[in-house]
Amino acid sequence: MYRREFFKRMIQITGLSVAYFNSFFKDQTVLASESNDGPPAAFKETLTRLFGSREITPSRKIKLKAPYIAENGAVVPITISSPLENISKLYILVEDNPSPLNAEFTLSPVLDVFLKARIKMAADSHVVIIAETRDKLLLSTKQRIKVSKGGCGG
Amino acid sequence: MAKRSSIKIRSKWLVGKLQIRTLIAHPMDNGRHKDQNGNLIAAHYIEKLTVKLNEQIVFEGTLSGSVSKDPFFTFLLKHAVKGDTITISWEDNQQLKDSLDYSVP
Repeated sequence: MYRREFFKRMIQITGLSVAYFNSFFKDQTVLASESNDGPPAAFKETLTRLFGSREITPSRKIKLKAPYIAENGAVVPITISSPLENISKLYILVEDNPSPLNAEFTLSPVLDVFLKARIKMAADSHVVIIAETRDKLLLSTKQRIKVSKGGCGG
Repeated sequence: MAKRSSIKIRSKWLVGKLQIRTLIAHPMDNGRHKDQNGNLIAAHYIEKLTVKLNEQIVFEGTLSGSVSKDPFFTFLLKHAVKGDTITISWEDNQQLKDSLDYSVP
C-alpha cells in the first residue's frame, strides 16, 4: 500500500517538474526572440558598418543624461560624460531614426570626456552612446526617450 | 560692416577647467522636411566640425542631418591657460564653411 502511494507521488512530481522546466525554456525562447526584433534593421546595419562584428559591452562608466520625455523631437538635449580617461571616440546613435548614426566625435586627451549636444529624434526611441577607448574596446550605454513631437520631417 | 560669423563661442572657468560652449547658426536640413509648397528641402547639414587649441586639433565631429538646427555643443578643456587660441571651424555638405578664432580671456 505504501509502495503504491510512493510511486504515485513520484510520477506526479516528475510530471510537474518536467512541465515546469518546459514552461521555463519556453519563456526563455520567447524572451530571446523579443530581443531579436528589438532594434530596427537600419540600426543593426549601422552597427555592422561602424564596428563589424566587434563586441560592444554595456558599461556604467559611460553616463548619458537626457530627459525621459522630450517635448520637441527636433531639439533633444543630451549630456555624455565618463570618469574614464582613455576614451578616444564617441558615437551618438538613435535606434528608431531613419538614419540612426547621429554623430561621431574624436576626442583628444586634452579634453574631459564631457559633451553636451542637441539631437533630433523622429519618435520614441533608445538613444545609444558607444564609446571607443584608446585600446579599442567598445563600451555602450543607452536610455529610452519619449518624444511628444517628432523632429525628422513630416 | 563685416558679415557676422555663424559661430559663437563662449567660455567659463570651472575649477581649473575651461568650459567651452559653441553655437553655430546653420539650418541642418536632413532632406526629409518639406517647405510650404510641399517640396522637399534639400539636405544641408554640417559634416565636419573641428576644434583646435593653439593649432592642434582637440575635437573632431562628423555630424549628420539628425543633429538639431543651430548645433550647440559644450565641452571641457582640461589644460587651458589665459591667452590660448581656440579655433572652431565647420564644413557642410554644400561646400560652405566658416571658422572663428577665440582667445581665452
